[in-house]
Amino acid sequence: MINQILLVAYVAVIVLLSWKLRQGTFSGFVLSDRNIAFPAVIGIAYTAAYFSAASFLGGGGYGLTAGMPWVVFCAFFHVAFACLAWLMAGKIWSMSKKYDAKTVPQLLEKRYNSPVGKVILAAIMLLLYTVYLVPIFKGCATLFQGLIGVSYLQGLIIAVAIVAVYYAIGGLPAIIWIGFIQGVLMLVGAVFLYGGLFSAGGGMQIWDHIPAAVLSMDGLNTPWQKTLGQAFAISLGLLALPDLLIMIFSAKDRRVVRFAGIWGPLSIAVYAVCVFSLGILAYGALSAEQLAPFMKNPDGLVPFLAKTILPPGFDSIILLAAISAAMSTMSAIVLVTTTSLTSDILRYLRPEISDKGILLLTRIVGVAILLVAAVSAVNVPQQIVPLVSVSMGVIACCVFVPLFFGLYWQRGTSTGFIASLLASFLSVVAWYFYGNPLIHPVFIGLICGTLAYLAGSLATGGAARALDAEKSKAG
Amino acid sequence: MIMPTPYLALLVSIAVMLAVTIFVLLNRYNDEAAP
Repeated sequence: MINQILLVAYVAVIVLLSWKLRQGTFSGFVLSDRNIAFPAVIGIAYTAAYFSAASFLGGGGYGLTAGMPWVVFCAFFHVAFACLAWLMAGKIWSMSKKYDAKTVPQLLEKRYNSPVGKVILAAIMLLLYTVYLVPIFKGCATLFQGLIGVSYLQGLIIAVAIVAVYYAIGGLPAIIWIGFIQGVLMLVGAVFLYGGLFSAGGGMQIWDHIPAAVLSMDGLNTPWQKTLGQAFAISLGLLALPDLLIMIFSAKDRRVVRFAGIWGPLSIAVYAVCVFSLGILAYGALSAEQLAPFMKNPDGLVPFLAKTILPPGFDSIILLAAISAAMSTMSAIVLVTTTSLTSDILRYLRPEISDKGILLLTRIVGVAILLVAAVSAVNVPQQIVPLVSVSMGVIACCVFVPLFFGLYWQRGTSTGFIASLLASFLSVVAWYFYGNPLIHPVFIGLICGTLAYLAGSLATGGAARALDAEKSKAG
Repeated sequence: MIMPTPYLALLVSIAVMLAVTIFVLLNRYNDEAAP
């Protein structure tokens, strides 16, 4: 009964907030009119949008089989990439304001003067983000099953309904403000679990109970190289995922970006250290018999920990935190996926559509994408399973190379931009199927994308400069 | 040949991250200085 009341209160807050933040203009809906003046809100919403239920459940349980390297590599890459992302954020914000870019593909289009590149990137995002939504829905529906005892299908319907309401009414402002609240819940949940394990394991003595093989950097049942690749691939998202970059776009001024740059990495660090350590700490607090069922199904570890080591009642807070993690990611992804279709691809094909028309379409298409992903989650199609594990990495590779060089290197050209998009995408897919499984495809995508970008830019840069010089001579 | 170990991988990662961070820090406010 308490769980139902908790959920009703949670939904009520979400609905009230999104109604208060309802938007009537396209710029307000996708960008919050660049008026968010609270650094903590942007910083923590960024963390909430980045970590999904997969990090909460999968990331928490994965340490059981991967051991110490998972904790060390994940903590390192998350903290390092979050810091780097926020060091770059000031420049990204200035650039988006200068070009009046409302989406990430638009930002790169204007930087490289390349509408074709924008459409290619938008298409890649549309495909891979929609695929990525499916497992998040699956996780969220399973969590609702655990929280209020509904069936999987009912859980799925509840998840779609909540996200669709606050997405369609409030757009980005609602996503950011609700994401902030969800982020606080997630941080509380993560710290509770971490602290609960320490107290169950007898404080710092917990380290003495953990077997040496678990603490070895050579990895437990998973080779450390594989763990390194996985940690790198997921945390690369922090640097370049469009659903996180739009949070930077929405800041009111550079001061807000600068202070959000403290809240973002700090919350990422707390959450990453707490959640990614759960798997190895469980060895110190639980018996081998208790852990045995989770060796095959690590995702079940976190809900089990919440039930066994925390005082009664706290497990619902943990489940709500995991649901928040899923919803904050879904809502941000739906927004960038939809705008890539409506504002980037459709506008390119039919430039005459008004802002009002695009706004209406963005609301409708967003809900449609949610429905498509949810229907796919009823019975996950086998064809998309391989795509899911690399989808975030591919998007991050495709955006990171042109974004980073676009910010810091003047000589990049549209040919380099398009070449890097195609090279990143194709090399990841090819390596995934035919490459050495010890080396993560995202490493290959990043290297191929960078090489293609440099080659394309240098090959065409001379011609572009000669043309410019000729123009200025003629002028 | 140096065999890759988890510690070497971590060391290389730290070195690369430090280099990129210093590069980003050095180029931080160039766009503000420009008119």
